[in-house]
Amino acid sequence: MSGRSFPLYLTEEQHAAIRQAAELSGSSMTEVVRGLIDVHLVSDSPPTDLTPLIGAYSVGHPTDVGAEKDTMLEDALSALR
Amino acid sequence: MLFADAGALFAVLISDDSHHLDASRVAAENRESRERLWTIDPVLTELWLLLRRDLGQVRADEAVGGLTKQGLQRESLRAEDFARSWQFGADWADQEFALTDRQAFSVMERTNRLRAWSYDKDFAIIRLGERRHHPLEIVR
Repeated sequence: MSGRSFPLYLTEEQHAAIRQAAELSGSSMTEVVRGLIDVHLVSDSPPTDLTPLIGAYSVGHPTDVGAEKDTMLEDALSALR
Repeated sequence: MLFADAGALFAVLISDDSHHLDASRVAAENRESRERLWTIDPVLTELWLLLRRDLGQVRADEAVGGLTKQGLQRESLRAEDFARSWQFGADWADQEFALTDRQAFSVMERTNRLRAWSYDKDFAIIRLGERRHHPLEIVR
């Protein structure tokens, strides 16, 4: 990969956090740092704002999607048949 | 980066849901923090099915499209994510994790993004990593 190098000194805590992240994702520590930079500094996508959609729809009856999602999905799939 | 599952997105959109007030608060906090929200396509398919059941296809399309227009990001699944999903099923055989959830766990593990917005108990149960050392940070 072409690019520029940059000396980076980390605290023990920061180093341990990156090492742990690399172990978890099966990637190198360098890749973890590059990924963090991409996500937090380079991405050109706008931040998320779902607030204009809050309560935009009513289904006309109470739901509890946390507890009943699977049942609701089964109903939805049944309706497709 | 905060992952959103279908239940969380449904609860934001639907005023009748029991988690709507909590979800509305999370959406407002998310806007203030400017933390990016992401999901995977299987979650959006689940959400579309849930919405279509009561709202019909046109409004389900409108709602799911609205979420992406508002900046909800879609992370693509890779071949290794599918493989890891099956492994989650075998490793956690005493649980009944849905395939969509296992795919989400796989992408979270691969990308090391461990924050999840969900009202599903399975997200509080799962532990990621080969040694199952890493719980998700649940937002609700």
